[in-house]
Amino acid sequence: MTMHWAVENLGDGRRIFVSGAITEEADFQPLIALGGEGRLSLDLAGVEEINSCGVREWIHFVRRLSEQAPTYDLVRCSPAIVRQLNMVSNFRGSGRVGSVMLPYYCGNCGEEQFRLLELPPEGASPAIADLVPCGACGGEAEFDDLPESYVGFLARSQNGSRKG
Amino acid sequence: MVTTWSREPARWIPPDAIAFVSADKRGTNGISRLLRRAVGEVAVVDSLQDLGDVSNFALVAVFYEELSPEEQSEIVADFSARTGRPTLLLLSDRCLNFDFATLFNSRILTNVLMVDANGPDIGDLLVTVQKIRHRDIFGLEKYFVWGVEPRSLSLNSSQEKPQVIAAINDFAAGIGVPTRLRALIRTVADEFLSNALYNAPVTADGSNRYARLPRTVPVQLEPHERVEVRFCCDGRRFGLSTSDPFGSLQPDILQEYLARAFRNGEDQIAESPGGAGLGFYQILDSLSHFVVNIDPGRRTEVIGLVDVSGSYRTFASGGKSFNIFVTERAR
Repeated sequence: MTMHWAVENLGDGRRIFVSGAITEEADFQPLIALGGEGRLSLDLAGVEEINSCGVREWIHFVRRLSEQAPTYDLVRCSPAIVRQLNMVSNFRGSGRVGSVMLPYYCGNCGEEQFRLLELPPEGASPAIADLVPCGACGGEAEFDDLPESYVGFLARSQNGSRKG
Repeated sequence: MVTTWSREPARWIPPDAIAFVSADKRGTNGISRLLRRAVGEVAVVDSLQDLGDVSNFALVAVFYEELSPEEQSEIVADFSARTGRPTLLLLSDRCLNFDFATLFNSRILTNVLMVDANGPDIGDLLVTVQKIRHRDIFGLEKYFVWGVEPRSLSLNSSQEKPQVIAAINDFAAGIGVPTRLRALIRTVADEFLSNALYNAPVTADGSNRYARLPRTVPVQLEPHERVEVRFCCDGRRFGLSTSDPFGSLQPDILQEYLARAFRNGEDQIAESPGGAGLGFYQILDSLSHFVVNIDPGRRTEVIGLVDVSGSYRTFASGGKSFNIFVTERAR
């Protein structure tokens, strides 16, 4: 699996859709140049996995992007991205995490689905619904992670790093 | 004071005896009774202070949460010096992520087993104890019941890595492992294989051959240096192992990488050529149980076990077990 990206031009900036696997093969160079014009959003809903070398490539990317576009947003962050936000210091660079995807799993039919969670600019962690209707069987799908720690990275300042 | 002994208060401590430090708030005597019947002598003492000279013990097991903050600090500060360095096994009923930086940094953390409401997984506890006592450390099968047959692959080129990971993923998908758990398994396979292909190979004098190469540069091992890959599932846990013929992984280095990663400091990511220094951190976070077996200069086997009995949430709520075993020859 490799990393893919696509760009959508918006009225006041751009949205970059990143998907696949971020590994040592990931080439972010073309994306850095896109950070200099208008508002920039990185849509990360399609990122399925990141390995250790991919984390380093990403950190280099956001470091350079921070020089180009100090106000970029990370939106629709996939569970793979959320995991790294919780694990790796300064994974977001100078960006703001605007929203995350919440994973749900239906124990009845095995269906996996995602819900969007918009994050407040500052303040308390938003509530995460533990159960939602399963889109496949109509049963109940359970939030498929630990509600108390899934957005634990918010406990730090949006530009801070985890301690402890 | 010694509160429990197999028959009478100890007059003679067998060289492979086991000590449990616990006030028995969690039924440790039940565990010690079971272990005594399975493996021999087990002593239960109330506190670290009561251990005294325990250099004859093969293993000292401690319920970590039962220790006072002072005792937890004491373990980190001087346990190994005070006890003549028997192997330490921490039993814990919570995720120790916030303690791992300190524990790994102390270099004393070689064994952690998670405990749930029913106590530790008795199979994992017995395997841990027997591997420490008998130094028969290798084999994915030790973590599965008889009848589970691991599949085997081998490779000697980094360019074969994607196909091997795909084969493991296909097996996991075929037996119904959910998507998010399969992503963990792929991550572990990727990191295991990168370690075996880039970090493990050494020259005759022990120098690294490829560790400083960018991971985008292909490497090719000799035919006799093939990396063995095994994987299986018993419905409860998915197991994956890789084995290289170098035995070059050093426990201190592993602990140093993990300590640095868990500190979350500015040095969390290595900027030197080669790997990012986060591989073991990603591995441990992706597993329910991470086992490292080392025969220095001969073989390193890493084993990863993922709880696939339920959803990702089931896995994530289960905590982390961890072992490093080194053969007698290195001691």
